[in-house]
Amino acid sequence: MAAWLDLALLGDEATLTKAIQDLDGDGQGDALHSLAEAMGLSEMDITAGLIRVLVERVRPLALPATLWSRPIDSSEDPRPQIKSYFAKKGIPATRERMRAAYDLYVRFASERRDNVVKADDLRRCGFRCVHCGLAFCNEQLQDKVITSPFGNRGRDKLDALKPHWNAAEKMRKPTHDHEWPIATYGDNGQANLRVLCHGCNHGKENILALEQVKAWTGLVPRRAFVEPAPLDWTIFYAQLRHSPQCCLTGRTAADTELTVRLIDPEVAAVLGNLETIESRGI
Amino acid sequence: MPNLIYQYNAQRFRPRADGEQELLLFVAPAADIRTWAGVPRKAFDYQHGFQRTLNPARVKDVAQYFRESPRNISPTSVVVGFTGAVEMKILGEELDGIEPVQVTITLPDYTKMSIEELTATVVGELRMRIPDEAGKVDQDLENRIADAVRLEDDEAVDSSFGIATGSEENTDSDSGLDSIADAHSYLADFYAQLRGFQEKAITWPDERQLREVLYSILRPAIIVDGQHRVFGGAVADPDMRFAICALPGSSWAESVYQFVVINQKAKPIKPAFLSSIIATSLNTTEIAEVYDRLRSSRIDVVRAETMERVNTDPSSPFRSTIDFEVEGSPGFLQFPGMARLVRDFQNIPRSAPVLLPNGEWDEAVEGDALDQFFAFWSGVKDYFDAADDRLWRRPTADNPNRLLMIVTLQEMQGLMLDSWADSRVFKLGLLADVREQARRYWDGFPSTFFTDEWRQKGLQTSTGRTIVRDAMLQTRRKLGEKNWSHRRLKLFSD
Repeated sequence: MAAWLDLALLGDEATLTKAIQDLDGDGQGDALHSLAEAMGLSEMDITAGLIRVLVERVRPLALPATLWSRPIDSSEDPRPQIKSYFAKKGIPATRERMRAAYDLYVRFASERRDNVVKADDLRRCGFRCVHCGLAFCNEQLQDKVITSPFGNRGRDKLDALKPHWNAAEKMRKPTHDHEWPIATYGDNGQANLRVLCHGCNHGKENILALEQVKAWTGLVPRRAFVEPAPLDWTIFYAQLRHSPQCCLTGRTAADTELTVRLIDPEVAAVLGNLETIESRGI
Repeated sequence: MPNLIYQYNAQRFRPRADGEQELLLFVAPAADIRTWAGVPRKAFDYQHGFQRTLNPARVKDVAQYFRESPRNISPTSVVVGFTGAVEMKILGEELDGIEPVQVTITLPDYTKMSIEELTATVVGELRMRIPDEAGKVDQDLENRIADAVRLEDDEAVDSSFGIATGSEENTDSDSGLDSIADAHSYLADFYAQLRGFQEKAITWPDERQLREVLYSILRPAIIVDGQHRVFGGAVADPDMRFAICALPGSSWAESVYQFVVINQKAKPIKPAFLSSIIATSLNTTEIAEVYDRLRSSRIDVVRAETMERVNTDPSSPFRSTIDFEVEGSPGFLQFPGMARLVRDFQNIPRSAPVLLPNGEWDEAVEGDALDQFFAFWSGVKDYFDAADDRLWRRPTADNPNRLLMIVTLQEMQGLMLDSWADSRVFKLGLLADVREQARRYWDGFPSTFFTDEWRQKGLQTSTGRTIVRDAMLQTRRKLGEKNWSHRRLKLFSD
């Protein structure tokens, strides 16, 4: 059951592609099983991740092309277009489907807007990054003239793996994240906005499909192996998205600061060799 | 092609017992309104008259607001003018002067028409609306199409058409009410343009944009107020319902008039208002304080202050002539046009630095730019006042003259500055010299040039401006020539 290792050792794209193509039905099953086991994932997880990516790939086909480019101030009703498009595809235009298609169009018509994090937003999220629980202390809120219930932090934490503690102050400041990025289909509505620290927002990146894939596969950039810690922002983000609570206490970002640790110190800092834990302090 | 039919139960009443105008109140979904009512669109020349049409960013904002929560509604009514055929059937007894009626709006599904069909329909419509102008265009089709293209090119520079952006340019456009008087000429240009598309003399423009403009002409109603709410609402929830107050039997002009009046009110305070409000209600210290506060709120007060000086400074030849757009204001020269005149003069360091000793307004020039502006125009005034004392006065029916008009003033100033800059014979310096040079520039110029009838219309357009300037240039060049009269120029003929 070392299929994952044999595949991973293949050095060039052509050989790897050929090896994957040459797998027969059983071979594919074995490889999948072996890969899942090595990464600590179930086969269901992998299939779910794959479906998720394919959904992104297929989404542009969900609406007629004219609708993606329809100006918001056009007076032509888009609903008949959607209806005839569905009809052409042989898909019944149910009420729910029409509503969802219209919603997708409207979200897509939204343009990116910088939304400043205000005191109310911070109160709603308990003055913590929704993703990693980083507490926003007075140091991070100086330019907003907002007082943090956590007061001053004073000294930064010593944490070799969490990238936030090994980066500039800016990466620990609160930002508004469009959960569903505007670049794809998100809008500026409250429901789509979350307060994230700059680091987690950066780690999420902007491309939804890639972000979703990373949450399951954790593509590691080369330099992450060459340079000693900390973790790459995207890996850290993906780990917490995959395992959003402390593996020991079950606490989440809502009430503690989360970080990661290596399961096996001899293995590289990649997904599968990381677990989420809470860190002491705030 | 099947027609689209919309029916609503409405209440009909007369707001004034002794007035003719009736109003209709009813409720309709946003998407319906968007389909049967047009919004005057920017993009073509005939729309110069509309201060604000549809601003996509605002539509998005409104849509976002409605999407935030189902509790977010619009409690104020949308005002529409019914310009086309709308049927009304009485449903029951009149009670207290309020009559229940059924309103039926019927219109073809224009979205199903090809752009050629749509254009042909609008061409037919315009032939009915402006028969004389359309006839003239058809008689001289080739030239008129060429004119329309030129106009389009010139105007393309300012594509904002006064859509509120908060920028200075916005308030520079002529006031909406002013431009309505010339709406027919823009429509004629637009008609020529459409004919150009049909004759394949001009390439068809972006179809989507053109369609929207054509829809707005063909639909049986115009949204007079609430266009952003309707479009934003229709985007957020097509079934969202709005209260509608409709003016039945409204002429196109009436709807546009209401549109401009209502929308101007919704605009941020214009510099003209700003000046007049501040100047008429505060003392000097308070004025200084208010200006400081406005400045710190990043409101453009410089222009307001400048125009205040143009209107009140004892050395200004335009004293008490600026129209501050408030009741009782004695002025008649429109604020935006005059503000542009001053700005163009202040811009000499950029437009014609050769006219200044050091290329900028510095110590080598006596006084400031505005002092120089006053001296410059005082010279012009000296000449024409001496030639005919009725000229430097408000033009009226009894005293028809074309001197104190924005177009004339702007072209005169442009002409003088250009020719001084070209000839390099004179630089701005001492105020007395500037005044004298400006007076001399017009020496011998017939005052009848401004009292004879100018038959050319649409002079605010770039083509019109060229005609005015050429006429002045020709007249100046041919001064003293025998057998020549300015009356032979295009400006004075039909």
